[in-house]
Amino acid sequence: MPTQPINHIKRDASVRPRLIVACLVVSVLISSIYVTVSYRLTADVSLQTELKAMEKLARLLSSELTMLDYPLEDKADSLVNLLSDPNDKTPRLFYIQSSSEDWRRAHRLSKAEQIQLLTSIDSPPDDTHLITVNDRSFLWQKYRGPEFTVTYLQQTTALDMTLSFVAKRLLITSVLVFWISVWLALTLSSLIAKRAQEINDALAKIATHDALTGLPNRLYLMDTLSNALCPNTSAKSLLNGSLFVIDLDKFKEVNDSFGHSAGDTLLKEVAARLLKIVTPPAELIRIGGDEFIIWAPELDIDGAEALAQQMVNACDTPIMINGLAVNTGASIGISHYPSHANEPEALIVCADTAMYKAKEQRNGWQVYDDNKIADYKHNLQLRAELNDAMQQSQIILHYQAKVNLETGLIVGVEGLCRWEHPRLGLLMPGQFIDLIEDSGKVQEFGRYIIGKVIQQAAMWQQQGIQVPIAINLSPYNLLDPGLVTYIHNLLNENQVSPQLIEIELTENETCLNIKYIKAALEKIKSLGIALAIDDFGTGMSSLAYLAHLNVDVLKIDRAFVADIEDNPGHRAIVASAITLSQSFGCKMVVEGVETMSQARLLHNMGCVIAQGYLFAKPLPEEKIKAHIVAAKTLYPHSEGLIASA
Amino acid sequence: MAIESNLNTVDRSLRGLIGIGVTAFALFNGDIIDDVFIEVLLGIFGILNLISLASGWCPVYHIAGISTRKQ
Repeated sequence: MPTQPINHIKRDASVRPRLIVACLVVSVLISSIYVTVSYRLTADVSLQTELKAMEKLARLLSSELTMLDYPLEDKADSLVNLLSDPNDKTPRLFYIQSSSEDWRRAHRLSKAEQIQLLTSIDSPPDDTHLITVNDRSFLWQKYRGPEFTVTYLQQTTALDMTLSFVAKRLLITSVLVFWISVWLALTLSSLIAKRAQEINDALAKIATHDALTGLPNRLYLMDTLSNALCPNTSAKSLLNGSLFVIDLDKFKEVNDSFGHSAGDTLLKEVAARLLKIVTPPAELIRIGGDEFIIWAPELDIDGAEALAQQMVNACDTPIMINGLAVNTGASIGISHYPSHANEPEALIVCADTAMYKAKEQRNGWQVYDDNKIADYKHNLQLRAELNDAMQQSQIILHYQAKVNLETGLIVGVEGLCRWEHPRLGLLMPGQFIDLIEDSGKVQEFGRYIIGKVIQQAAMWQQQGIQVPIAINLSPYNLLDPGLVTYIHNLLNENQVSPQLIEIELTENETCLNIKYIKAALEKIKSLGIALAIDDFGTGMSSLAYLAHLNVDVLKIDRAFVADIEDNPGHRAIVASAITLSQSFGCKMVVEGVETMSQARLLHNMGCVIAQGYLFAKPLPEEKIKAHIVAAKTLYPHSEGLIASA
Repeated sequence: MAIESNLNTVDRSLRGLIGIGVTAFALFNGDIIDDVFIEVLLGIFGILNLISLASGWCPVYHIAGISTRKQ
């Protein structure tokens, strides 16, 4: 799901409590360690001090006993009374040994305890001078003098004193440390969480916005649509909404002609213009390349159509790029929630499909319509199959005869494309030529057709058939910089005379760089290939165009021939065209001759070469070849002749 | 930084009780603590809580961006 990254970034609310808990745990841990170490340290120091004092007392006792010359019992009694505080209630034991006798005095200790204690220190468990008897801890010191060995035991008071002295201070300090830690945790966690949130916001902005235009991107769109169309129970549900897919018509041309920075300028300018039109809650999103999407909640189809028209107008206003006014144009597809789709992806697909339909029909904008879109889907499938069609030579040529009206013989043929579709049967050019132009395969297709024609011409040439074959090329083909070399190489490889190839330039509404076309056409002419202008009299075939291109053949459009008998205007145009062709010194061919009377009239007007169903429909190669080889007269000037099929 | 109350009544009262208790203990504990340093620390702790009681404002809450008053 594309919405996951955003949720992941937003799901950071737990950082702060976690930080607080972590700080508190660390502070409690540190306080505990600190209290424990302090307590143990103090206890150790107290014990050592007490032991030292006891050792000194034992040493003193021993030396004093040595100096006095009384019986041991008397000496010991008076010295112990002197050295130990009679008011001290601490249980203790003095034990003095000499080589001949011993003496013992205990305070608050039973006989059994005394014996137990003395036994314990005879074999002490360690060298800490600390023993435990009946859950009471005793410190002991033993001094071996020259005459007397003095043993002094005392129940330890150091640990109790440490507790009473140190513990309360440590407790209060710990409370204060904990208090400071809480404040520190709060402040730190707040600062870190705040900073993390800032970074998250920045990341979310980067992740959901386009760097060039600053507009939200696809990720943002999917997030917004998911929230709007599949709301939580608490959110307000959306009644309707419109989604626009906007594609710039001339973006690729601008990028290719002026460079990517010009393309970027164009995108920024278009984004700025659209932003002026799109008002909240509607949002403009750039989803990549030259495609924008607008999601307009609570906008019905009528409102959407009005908005689309405004946007088409905005994009139709020229934009200045490198000092040139470029008219980019836009195609817009509109889908409506919930009438067209309920899911975000489906809504985008509907608008996208409608956009391609709008682009195809060049009518600016289009609302999604199931019925209209069915055709489009069919075309889309055909477009996908085009590659295979060329690779597997499914696109073939049929040939329509051009007949000399004086002899009735075939003087040339026009090659016309047919697609032998494996599923749909034989398709006419009208069903797929537009797809080729839209899919950007015009130049590839042009080369394919030229290759086929030259192969055919080579085969006929080998069989002794010297009939020129004409093919139609779009001006876009002439933008193929390697086209002339390609033709030249093919002619050489196949040993085909260039006179056997004729190129008919079909027109369309595109005004291409006439200088470039002229240069390309001149190069083609220099190879010896004849040039014809197809559909003369319509479209861009102005007289200036004619003068510039220096063509060999004019083909009068069938529209003037169809009603030539009843329409004096058309008759006048054909007559003028005949004169014009004579003045330019080029041949003239009339197209679309369907009746004998049309043929006769045109012949009388001075037309020599004609093409039309009256003589022959476009035929497969073997049939037209049969006609050519048989030198069959297709126009015998007689009534009742049935045109061959 | 502007002083703006950020403590609710419970928070404020609690701090007041702690402040009074701790300050009193710091001043009149007799021989219980026997350490001037700790008494001073306790005094500061108590006085800060008393300031919070008087103003209804906690500087740490302010820095941390917390307010119990809103809740």
